[in-house]
Amino acid sequence: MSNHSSVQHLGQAGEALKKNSIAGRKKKDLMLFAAFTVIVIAIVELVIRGLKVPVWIIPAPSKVAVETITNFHHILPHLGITLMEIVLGYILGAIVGVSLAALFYRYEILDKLLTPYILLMVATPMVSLVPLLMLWLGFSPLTKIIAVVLGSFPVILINSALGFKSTDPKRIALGKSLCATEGQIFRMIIFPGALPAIFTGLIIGGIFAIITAIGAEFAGGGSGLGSRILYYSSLMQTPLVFGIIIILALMGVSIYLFISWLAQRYTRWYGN
Amino acid sequence: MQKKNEYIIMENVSKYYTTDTGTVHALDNFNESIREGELVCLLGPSGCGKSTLLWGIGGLKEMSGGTIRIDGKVVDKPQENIGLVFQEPNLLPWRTVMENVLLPFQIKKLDPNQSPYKETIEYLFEVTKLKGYENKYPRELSGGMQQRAALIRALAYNPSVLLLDEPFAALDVLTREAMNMLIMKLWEDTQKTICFVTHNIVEAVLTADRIFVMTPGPGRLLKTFKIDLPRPRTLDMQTDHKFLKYVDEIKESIGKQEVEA
Repeated sequence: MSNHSSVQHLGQAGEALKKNSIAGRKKKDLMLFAAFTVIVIAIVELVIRGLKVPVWIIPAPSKVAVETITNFHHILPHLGITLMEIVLGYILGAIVGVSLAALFYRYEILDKLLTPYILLMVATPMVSLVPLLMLWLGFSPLTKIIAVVLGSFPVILINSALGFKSTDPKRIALGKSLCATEGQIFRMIIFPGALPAIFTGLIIGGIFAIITAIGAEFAGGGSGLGSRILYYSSLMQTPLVFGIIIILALMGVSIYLFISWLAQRYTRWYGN
Repeated sequence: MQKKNEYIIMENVSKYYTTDTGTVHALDNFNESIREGELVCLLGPSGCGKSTLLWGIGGLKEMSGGTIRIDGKVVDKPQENIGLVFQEPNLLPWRTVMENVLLPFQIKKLDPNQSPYKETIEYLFEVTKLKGYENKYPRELSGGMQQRAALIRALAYNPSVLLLDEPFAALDVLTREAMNMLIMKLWEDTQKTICFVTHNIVEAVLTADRIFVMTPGPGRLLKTFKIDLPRPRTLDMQTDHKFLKYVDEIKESIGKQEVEA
């Protein structure tokens, strides 16, 4: 017994050490990357000033920063609207995608009949539907939310369904041998086992959601960051266009990091 | 045969699969019975229908003909009273060892903190030497430890029948011997009725009260051997004259069939 526990403590200590060194390395990598970025920005700044590039073609980074910060109160409401469209549309898309995948898994006939159409939806840019949606539903943010749902749910569905279907039959037999109901087998065995595949779908779906939202804002309506890009570029306000692009990039990265964090948290058992 | 003690009764049990190339007779007219508290091995080469029969007893596979009864009740669906251990540990990798052990309790809506489950779980962790590993994930354990955890899961809710489907085939010889001793210890302590599928003759002679020797094509019962060796059995017995005689007899009865010994 004491032997066991001491071995265990050793194991834990080793793991903690490993974690620390990984964290340390990550911190170092991050610092290196930050330093590199600062240097790149400084070089770009110097080159643009030195060559006297007109501000409406490529503004210096400092100009972009100043303009974006001084006009931020104009941008903020649009950022709010875009974020709302993406988050609401994406969450709805995730719910629709995973639920339909569960239905497809339960009723094979649905899978056989509908999966080709879902694949078609993955392959077709859902942005292309936006003009039609505008025609039917008007220019409100609701139209864009629907576009985001349509853009994100198919890829989430396909991945989740694949996850459900690739459940090891031995695990289902285990559930049956314990007299589990179909619902119990799904909740306790199939769904948790499919989480890695579901998260893959969620990460790709998140990217699709952002693309669709900005595309939909390009296509119509006066609100949202996409519409601001068009607006400021029509006014030759190039620094603000750059500023919004950077905001969009940061938004995309945040969503990606958040989902990846969730995936790590809930699928830590997977892979090793 | 002692009629009154017969616990698992198999009558004319058959199983055939229809494939594109024809009908495969996996199991043909199997007749035998297992007494309460008996340790029986189903022994035979691949394709002799031993696993098919085991899954039939567990109610996990529908038989094509005949009836299987446990304690007088016809088996036509999965049985509450049974614990099954698979060829692979089949632990759920996202659950810790303890969470895996508690899976049956969640499914069957039993309270693991109540008597006798609490004591049973404690005993099982003790005897399988997995105490201290309750909160480990399966990937942190060796193959033998994982299979022991699977044994705990199959026995924790006190089923009266334990079905073992070649659970040690993937383990090395030393680990397998330790597992055989563990099975016999568990069997002696808990008085379960055990049905143990294996293709290893030594393993069968070492553990079983009786061995149902089966042959393939179609899968059927060849002969039942009563193993009259004293209990508790030890690994030393493997070199006894009587032990070796049983091994030889069984080998001979199976004949030219290739069996891994």
